[in-house]
Amino acid sequence: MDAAFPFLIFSAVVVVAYNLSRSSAWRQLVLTLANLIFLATFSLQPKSYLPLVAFLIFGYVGVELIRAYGRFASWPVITATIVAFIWLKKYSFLPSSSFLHFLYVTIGLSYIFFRVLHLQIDISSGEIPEGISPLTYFNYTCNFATLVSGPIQLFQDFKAQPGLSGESTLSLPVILGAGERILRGVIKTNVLALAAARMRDNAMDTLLTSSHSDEKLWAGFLVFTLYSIFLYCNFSGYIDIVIGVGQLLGFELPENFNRPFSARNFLDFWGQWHMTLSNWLKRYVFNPMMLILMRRFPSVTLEPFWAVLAYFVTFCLIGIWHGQTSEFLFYGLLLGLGMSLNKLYQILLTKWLGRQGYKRLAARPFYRALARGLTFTYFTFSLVWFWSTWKQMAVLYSRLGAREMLEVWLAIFVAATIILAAWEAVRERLLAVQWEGSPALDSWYARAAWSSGLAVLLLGVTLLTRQSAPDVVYKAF
Amino acid sequence: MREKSRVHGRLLFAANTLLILAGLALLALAAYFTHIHKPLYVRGGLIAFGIGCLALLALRPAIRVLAASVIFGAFAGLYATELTSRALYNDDLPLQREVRQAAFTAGVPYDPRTRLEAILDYRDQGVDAYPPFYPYLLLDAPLKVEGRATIPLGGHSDVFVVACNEGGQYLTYDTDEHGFPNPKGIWGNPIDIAMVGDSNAVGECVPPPDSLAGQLRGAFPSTVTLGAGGHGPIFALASIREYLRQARPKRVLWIYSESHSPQYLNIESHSPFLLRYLDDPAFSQHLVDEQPALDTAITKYVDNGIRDELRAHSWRTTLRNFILLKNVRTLGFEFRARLRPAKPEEFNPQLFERVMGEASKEVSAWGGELTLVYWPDAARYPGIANYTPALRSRHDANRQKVLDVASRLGIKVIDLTTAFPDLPASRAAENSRYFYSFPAHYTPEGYRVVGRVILSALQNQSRSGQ
Repeated sequence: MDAAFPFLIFSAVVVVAYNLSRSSAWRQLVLTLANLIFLATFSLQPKSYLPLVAFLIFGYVGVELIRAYGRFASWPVITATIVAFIWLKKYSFLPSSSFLHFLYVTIGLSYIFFRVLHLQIDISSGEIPEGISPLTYFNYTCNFATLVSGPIQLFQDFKAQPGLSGESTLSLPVILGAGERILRGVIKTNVLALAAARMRDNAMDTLLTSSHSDEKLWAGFLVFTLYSIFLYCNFSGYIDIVIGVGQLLGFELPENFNRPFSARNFLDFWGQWHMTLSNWLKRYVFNPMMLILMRRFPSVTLEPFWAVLAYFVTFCLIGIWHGQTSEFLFYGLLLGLGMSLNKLYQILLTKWLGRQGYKRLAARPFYRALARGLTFTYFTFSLVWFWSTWKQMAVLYSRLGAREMLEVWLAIFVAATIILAAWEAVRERLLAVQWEGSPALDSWYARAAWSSGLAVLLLGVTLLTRQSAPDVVYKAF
Repeated sequence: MREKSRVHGRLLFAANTLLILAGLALLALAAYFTHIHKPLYVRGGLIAFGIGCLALLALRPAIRVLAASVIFGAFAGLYATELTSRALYNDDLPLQREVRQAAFTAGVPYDPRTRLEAILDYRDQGVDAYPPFYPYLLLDAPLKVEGRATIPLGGHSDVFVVACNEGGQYLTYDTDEHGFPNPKGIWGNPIDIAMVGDSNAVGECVPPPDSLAGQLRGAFPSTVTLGAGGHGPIFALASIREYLRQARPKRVLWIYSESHSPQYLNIESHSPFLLRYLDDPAFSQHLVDEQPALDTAITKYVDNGIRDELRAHSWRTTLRNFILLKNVRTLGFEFRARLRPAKPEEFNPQLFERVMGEASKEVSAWGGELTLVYWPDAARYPGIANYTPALRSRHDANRQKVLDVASRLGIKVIDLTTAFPDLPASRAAENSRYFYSFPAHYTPEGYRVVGRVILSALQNQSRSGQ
């Protein structure tokens, strides 16, 4: 049995207890207990929780200081929070002698950091006027459903949840809808991600050991391509489960993925992949930076180019957030470069073709297919720095060679272009089939067939193949 | 409005048809399962589901359509499981990965071909290649050789055999005039040493010079092996009677495989045909004289097997297997087997003693000497392949019984269990020179260690004999 099933069993117990009463106090109590128990599963050593607890207390004290002293306190508090996070995450540019030399819990720390920082900034700007009790602060920052890998929910949305205020009750449509979402998630994590990971492992073995160049080319193609598919299924599957569990608790958690591989460019892609992280950074890095640049250098001509710069900085930060090594720094540079070049391309092409001309070009099916293929290929390429080290990259390069490496990436581009275009065309056709005024695929009958099919698939794969699904990748960040 | 009701009518018709077909198909399957004596719970489940499908026809149209959707989805889910399990679960895949890794570690180029592909490649190059022939597969259905039921003990003579790949490259060899992996013409000389036993006596799956016979030939050039994969004690006795009575070697090495000999003995004890070798010392199939007829029969048998295997890989068979959910059913059987694990094979020391006693008498009759070589299972050493403490204690108990039998019969023993260091699991890596990490035969280095120990024991025996 792998991680998804214990989490689901735990969630089921919480959902039942939580829905025993509509009393707000009861639900707060159950949620608090659930969050504490969930945190307690990470380590049996009380000492290992000290840094996390200290960070949470520090964050709350910071929130109260900002509330009491306003903007005077905000900069020192926010800076100190960022420094504390970097120190606890042991970023490699800090001297290792400064780190704590015992094992401590960091699971969920990144997501707690985003929430704490959001509270501090929004309280400072007056967007969160009301006071926050320590219990609400704890339940917001350490919500068991979103602790490990998000999504990152804003406090304003968390407070407005109908579940906590006792306004929501479990009804059959809610249970069925949530069940369908959870099932879809488990299929992604325990079947599709598992299949992609197994196939990729085999391909990696082949790539590392084979002496046949054809075999190595095919293996290289699979090693690079399957990681993107694996990561999507692993992460978005986990988010589906979390959102489904949230629905059963009366929480409307934000979506984190919106068919990212259908994105027509890299800019759109990041609006559809890990959306809550991109939105957070857009809100707290991109937008303020744009504002500062536009105020400092007011010019209509320069304005679009500031976006190029702001995209670069924002997405560099995304890469750096993922990890503490030079590989992640390079990953950030690639993301930043991809975003800023994409923006620059849009600006220059719009200037050259005119707004309408650019729109017409972007609407052409062939152009769309190529752009989709290129987006997938670039994302897959940048992910190499996400899943491997420089040393591993050198080994892969030595196994394939320069020409073969180029062939592999060309093959990925061609295959992604064709497959994604075909997928979009099929999807469009299927959605065009109508039943009682809406797409037939959304009908109860189609959903019943789909869900029973997925349930049989999950049962079959879990019981028959006895393979454990890989852990959630984003748990590590 | 009319259009809408027409669509509804069609949907209801499709749902009704699906429910009727599913109900009838399930009842028909239950009838078939009754015919082939499947367990009651399987038949009962099918009947209940079948009747349930038909009973749904009495309910409201919306419920019928919903039920039909669920059944349709479940059916599609079964086929999705079939497809996915093919990607996730392939019996050969873990072994291929391990072999590839072992080859990489040893610096041996990996041959990714299946044995069949390798054989067909050799045939394309004009080489008369065959897979190894395993006589034990004929225990239940002996081969017809010129109208007589026959169980050969070797393979076809004078052919090129592609055997197995555990270290990166296939073990290939030419067979001698009796169908064993020996140099041609060796039977024309007086035989120094003859070996009987299973695949370990063949030297699977190391290059021929590293096999036990290959190494012994350095000191005893006239060494032959009568080994074949799957040969247990009664097969070994039969080999002695068929081939060694005339050759009269000075020494006969009986390779006793700790991992498989008890199991082989149990299987062989259920073959009335093979038991005749044990019950009647005069019994013989005259295999030496029948080799040309044997070759014809074996060639036909093996070629049929190759044709079947090629057919099994054809798109028609693949499609048929997919339609019949072969993978799901196979995994289902395995799942049930896991729920009720089979008991480990019990060693039958009494029968073994009888077999060894007959063999000893036979060899002594021509003045030869029988030596039992106790060939340890790699998995008896902690951390190797399928090692478990329970397996180790079972092996230890059986080993003592085997050694007791040899002692009672006055048969010399070369015990190879001490040839390898018995290290704790934490130091298992030190043993990886001799054994693969997966269930397999020994590595070339493992065979070399075994060869040195046996050679030294034989030379000591020779010196003490002189």
